[in-house]
Amino acid sequence: MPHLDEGTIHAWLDGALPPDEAQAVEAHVAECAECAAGVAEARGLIAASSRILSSLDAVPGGVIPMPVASPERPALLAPSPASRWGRARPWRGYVVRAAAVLLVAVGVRAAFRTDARLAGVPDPHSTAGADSAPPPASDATAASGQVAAEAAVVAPAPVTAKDGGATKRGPARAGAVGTAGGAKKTEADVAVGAGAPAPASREAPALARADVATLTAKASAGAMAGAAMNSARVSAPSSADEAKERMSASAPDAPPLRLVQGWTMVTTRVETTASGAARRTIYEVRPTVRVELEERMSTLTLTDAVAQSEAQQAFSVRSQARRTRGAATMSAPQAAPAAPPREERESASAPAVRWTSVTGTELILRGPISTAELETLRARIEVPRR
Amino acid sequence: MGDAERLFRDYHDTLVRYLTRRLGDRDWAEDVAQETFIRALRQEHIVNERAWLFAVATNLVRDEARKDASRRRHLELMFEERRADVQEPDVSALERAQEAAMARKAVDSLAERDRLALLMREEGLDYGEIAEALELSLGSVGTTLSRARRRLAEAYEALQRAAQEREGHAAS
Repeated sequence: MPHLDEGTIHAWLDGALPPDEAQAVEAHVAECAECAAGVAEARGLIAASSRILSSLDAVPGGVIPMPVASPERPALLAPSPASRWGRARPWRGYVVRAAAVLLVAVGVRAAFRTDARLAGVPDPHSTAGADSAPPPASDATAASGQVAAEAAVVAPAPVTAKDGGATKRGPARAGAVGTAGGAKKTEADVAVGAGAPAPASREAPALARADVATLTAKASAGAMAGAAMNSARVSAPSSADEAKERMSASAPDAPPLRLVQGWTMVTTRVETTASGAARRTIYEVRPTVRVELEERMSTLTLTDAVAQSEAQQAFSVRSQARRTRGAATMSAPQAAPAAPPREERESASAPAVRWTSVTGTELILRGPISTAELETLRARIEVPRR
Repeated sequence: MGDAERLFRDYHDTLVRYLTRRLGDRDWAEDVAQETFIRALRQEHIVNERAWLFAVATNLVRDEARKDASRRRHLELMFEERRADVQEPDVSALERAQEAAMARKAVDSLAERDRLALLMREEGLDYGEIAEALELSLGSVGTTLSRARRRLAEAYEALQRAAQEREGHAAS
């Protein structure tokens, strides 16, 4: 047999050769040092390519001016009013609307692609629902593509079966994937797009599929997504049902809290627990620097908020440097009993500012920048109007 | 469950990642993916869904390729402006940004067909699907991929070396 050409070697390593041909290649490689070296090199190239490509995934949205949407876009997938709103319109009636979005959630081990990249920001996985298991292996989102890719270099045997997506997208992807959070988890991962339409999502308290759950803030295909969520729902713990009932009166579409002056919202997600709900929104404030805005509402606070009058617009701002929870809870005593222990999730290295709105929502802005800078950013958060 | 939901559930993530890597912008990628799904719903019969979706998405991107150049210029300007604003970014963030920029450059240096084949393969498409989506012969997929991988790795390494040399000059 003549020496193998590079294309054949790659095809073999990719498991794309028919069985007889693959066997012949294998036999040849076993006795030809030159081709064995070629195989080793090809493995290295495959791994390197994967690693290089995975570093493209930290791309924020909205960096490129969008073309005007084509007018013939059919209704099914047309951006819902909510998603348009989430993108461009000022933020209104947040608390009331937020209540509706809270439906979604349980278990709260959200596959949240940006977490690992939020240097110094606490990993929400560690704060999963009260009864959650210890972090499983899949929580190693910090494991970079590089690590995984290097593992691939030393993988002893080529993939010989037709692997479809599964083998190819093994551990190397699980944590590193960006775009739509491809991390597959079996637990009830929860995330909801800001513009997810109400009728379906209201019935979707929990999602079993990470790929549905990771519909990002854009929730582009609103109707479709809603339907998908609907079909993917699983039974939710009663606490979530209760929460949902209590919030059922509120409006369906809750846009994420927006920040003025052109920050890029990377993703937003709402979690509920028995004690309340939190929305976490990641903003990119400049390239690669991301901050997380957490809005915590207790169930009690939410029901109160629905009844609250329009007059309560202003924020009673009590921002403090990190770990001044006392001050925050003083202004929102009703939220205090429900709030889970916060200290666990706050790493010492992530500066944070926190304050409480008049509606009792506890807001925490944290990220790998100085406290002073966080304060500046906080001042740029739009004051909600209802 | 209807076809729409299933298609969306099965392919949305992978298609968006593919497009994001190709386009460098997730919102744009989402829009193209959305348009792709719309077209899939209009299509009566699709033999290989994944190959079909990737092919249509790729064509949609191609249709917009002409606009790409001006967008890129705009983007670069914006990045320059932002970079000027950044005071003291932490080192790891800077490194990540540099890596991403080098990766982008390296990927952009590939021939379009090589780049698309590689990005599709990374999303798990098999050789048959890649051949179908890109209208290649099955036998040439391995060659295309091997060339794409080699060039990508080489381009990236060259960029790394250049960056190191620049740093060396700056330090001396």
